[in-house]
Amino acid sequence: MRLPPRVRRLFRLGSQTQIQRDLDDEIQHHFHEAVRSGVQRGLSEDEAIRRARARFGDERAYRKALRTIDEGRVRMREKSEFVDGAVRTVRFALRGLQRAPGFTAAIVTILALGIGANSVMFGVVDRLLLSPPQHVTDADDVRLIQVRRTLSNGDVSTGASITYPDFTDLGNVTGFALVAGYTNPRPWTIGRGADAKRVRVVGTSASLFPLLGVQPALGRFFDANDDELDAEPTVVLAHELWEREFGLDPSVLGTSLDIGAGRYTVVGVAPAGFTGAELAPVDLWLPMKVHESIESGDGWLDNRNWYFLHAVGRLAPEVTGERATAQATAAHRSGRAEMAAEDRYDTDAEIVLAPIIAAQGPSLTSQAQVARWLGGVSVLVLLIACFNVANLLLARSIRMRREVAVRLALGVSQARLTAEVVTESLVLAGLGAGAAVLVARLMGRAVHQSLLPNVAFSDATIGGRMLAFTLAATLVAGVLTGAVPALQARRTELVDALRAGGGNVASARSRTRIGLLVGQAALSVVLLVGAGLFVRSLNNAQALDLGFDADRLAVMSLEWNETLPAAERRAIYEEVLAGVRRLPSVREAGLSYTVPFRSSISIGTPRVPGLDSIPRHHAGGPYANKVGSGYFGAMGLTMVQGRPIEAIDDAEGAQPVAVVSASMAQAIWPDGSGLGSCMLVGDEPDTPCTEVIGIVENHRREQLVEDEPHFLYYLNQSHPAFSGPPQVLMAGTVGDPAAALLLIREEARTTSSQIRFVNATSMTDFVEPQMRSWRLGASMFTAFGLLALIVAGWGLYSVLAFDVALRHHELGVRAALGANRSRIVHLVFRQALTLVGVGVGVGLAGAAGMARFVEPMLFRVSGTDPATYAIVVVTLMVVGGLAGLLPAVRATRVDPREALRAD
Amino acid sequence: MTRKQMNLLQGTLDVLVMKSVAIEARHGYGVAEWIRDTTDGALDIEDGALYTSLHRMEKRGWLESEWGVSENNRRAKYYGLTEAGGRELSRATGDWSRYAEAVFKVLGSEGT
Repeated sequence: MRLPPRVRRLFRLGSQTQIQRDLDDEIQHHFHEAVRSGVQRGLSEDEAIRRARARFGDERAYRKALRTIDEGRVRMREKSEFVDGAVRTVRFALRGLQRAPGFTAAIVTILALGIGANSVMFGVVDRLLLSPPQHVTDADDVRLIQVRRTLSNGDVSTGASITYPDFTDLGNVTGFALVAGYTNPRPWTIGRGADAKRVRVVGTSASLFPLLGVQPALGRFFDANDDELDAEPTVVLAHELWEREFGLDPSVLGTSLDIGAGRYTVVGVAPAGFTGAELAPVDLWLPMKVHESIESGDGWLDNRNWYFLHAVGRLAPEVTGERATAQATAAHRSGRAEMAAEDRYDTDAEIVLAPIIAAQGPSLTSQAQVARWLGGVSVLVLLIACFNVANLLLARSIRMRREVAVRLALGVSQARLTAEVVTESLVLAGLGAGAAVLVARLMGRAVHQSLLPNVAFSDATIGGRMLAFTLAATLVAGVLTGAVPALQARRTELVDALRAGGGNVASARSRTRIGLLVGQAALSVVLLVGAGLFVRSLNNAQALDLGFDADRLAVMSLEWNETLPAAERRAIYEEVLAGVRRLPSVREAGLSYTVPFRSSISIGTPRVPGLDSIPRHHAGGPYANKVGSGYFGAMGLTMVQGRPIEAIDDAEGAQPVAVVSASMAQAIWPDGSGLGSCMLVGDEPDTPCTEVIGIVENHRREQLVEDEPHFLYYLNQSHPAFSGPPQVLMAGTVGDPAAALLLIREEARTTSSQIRFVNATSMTDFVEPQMRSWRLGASMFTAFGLLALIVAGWGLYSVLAFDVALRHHELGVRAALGANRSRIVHLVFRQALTLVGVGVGVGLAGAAGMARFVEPMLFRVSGTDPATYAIVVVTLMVVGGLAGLLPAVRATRVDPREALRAD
Repeated sequence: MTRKQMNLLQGTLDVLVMKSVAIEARHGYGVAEWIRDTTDGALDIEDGALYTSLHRMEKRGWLESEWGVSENNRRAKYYGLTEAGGRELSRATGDWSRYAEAVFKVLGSEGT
């Protein structure tokens, strides 16, 4: 190993010329002695020289050999001394850190949090944006197939859902080597009775597995025979379910499993972490056609309005994305030609092929956008952590200036001191990285489970890429934190430091530290503003009036042993309803067919005698629901006019009645004559009159934000669409529904042995997913912002405290000269608040500059929301004041006599 | 000078050199002189080879060197035995004695 000259000098290594000189001296000495001894023995000087030469042998050859040996020796010594030196430097650093345990712990904690947070966020960004779903090979050729079309109201929508006929159209596109269709993960029940469990099930075409290039962990995936309508039902287990339910027992192959209404034979197990072409966790894979026909009959086979599939394709070799897009678009349009001709579909509908790696795609989910920002934020946090650690190291190096000066005077080189400082920071970063892995594990799990439950993260929280990232972050942190103090150490001038006696800090030297402090404060401001904006967005979203009381509402549905006739199912629902109504934690309960945010039914437009047609709403509908007595009370919906559907309307043979939402009533009967009017529900000519008995307030149907309330109406009578038993029981609860849910579940379970599974959840579970991106932003920005604030506040404190200690003498003189306490306090506070003030100014400017980019992710909050900014400014000032408090008090306690004597 | 002269094996020279500096630290010429005197000049060693041996063993860590002033008041490089060198010397001496013993046994049995 050749070492650079600087390092060689550092370790005072021998050089080439030194070797030559020593060799010359030694051989010269030899000849001198040999000749002298010859002459002593009576030889002539010439003879003595001749004999000495002869005795020595070939001098040139020997010299060459000796030189080679010596060079080898020196090289070996250099190497071992370098290693020894490095070991010594690390030991030296460790000893130094051991002597200051509080300081070390502080730095390691800061770095661990900074690096740990970064690793977690990198993991999230990597999963959501940068990597394909797990086990996908040659992901570059895999495309998610979407349809962009203009809806009847003029809106352009790009959606991933297609119908089965659309899927078969795509199967003929030659630009794809393979095309696969699959459903969203659906909650389904496996097992029976007490062992019944909810799992997430995906129905897929057999082509999905070869398309993605995944190999089974056990058994096999589906082949074409499994994927036929009349095939024996088969199932592939997810590795996670295999582990959870079967303890990785390989004999599970060939056994059968009750899933929903069918019984399926286990043929294989997917590898761990496999989630198909999407990121959401999956428990079971079923052949789509078999599963769909067991659960839904065969209506979907030729229905171009039954959207339930997502499609993915792998480009054929040598085929570009553009060509495949053109071919797929042509296939889609020709399949939809008939509908388009009847003006029921967009003639210009296009296929859009999106890369399977989200970051390469045209559009990101709101969740992914927030994650991308958080990735940037976590880098800011690491920067803050580095600033702070650099500052602490710097403060220490200033305290150690005298020691440094003495060592310089004793001949320790600048390079050596630099090496020591950098080694110290690298050792610290290394310790920090160790702790960071722990932080990342704990934090990672929490973030994944609470904030991103809809994404499957691999169990190995610390993956290879993440570890590489952590190491890189550590190195950056180490070098960054080391560089500043190292530069300072180099600038320490010997005489200056010795003369100053370590008491006087030249202003030039603290400029760097001031810069670091201002930078920290500024970054904290940016993060806290971000946190404030997301918290306000989340609050706004939560405060939205949905029309119904989502957080006081329990939703219960029942699953049956399959052969039970509809009439008995209805009877059991009625029985459960009676029981649930008796529960003290339930305010009111009623049966329904649909649930807001989950399902809605359109049964065609009702007719109104005297009107040619009723006005249309751009969101479609009107949407019908059949509800029983108690429904409106349970939902917390207030009647605007008339009465709700009551017990008498539930009875057999009761008059058909309807309750209409305010928006619908307003559209049909703008003069307010709706109550008591007649509606004809159904297409038969002899359809009886359905009397409008009430008008109820509007509520959201499926989105947090629906600009104009959708048209909804409620019936008591059986329209063919509602001929089956009720689908759901809604229960308005007293207080948080969590407690009531247990009782409701218990009530239902004990009612009938025909109930296979009771599914009871809070209404918020259906609404919550739409708030996820804000929740993610609010929690993570707050966490990062607080972390940054603590770190920055503490950094400020330590620098102020340190300055007060350094200015001990000066403060003593001031006190001796009669400066009173308030003056001295003022002195320290002014410094603290000036620093924070400048930082806040810079931070506010930065935040305002970024506002434009964050705004699209916020909800009803401006990116420059003054209230948020004001709160952040006050917070920073308070923290600055607190940081100055203790040092200021300490400054007033300086005893002038002692301070003056010390010098 | 009609004495028979012997060619030396490499390892043998090393043993002799180590032995000479084990007694006291010597410079190169001193080692050469000691070997000549002790063997009555029976061994024909080129002085260059001797230095090669010295330097090689220094590289191996068996010898250590120091610059000093000779009896004639000149700057000279003195060699001494290191701890590792001491162990090597006793190992090599043992080997040599067993070897020589074996050779003598063979030669002795042939003579009688």
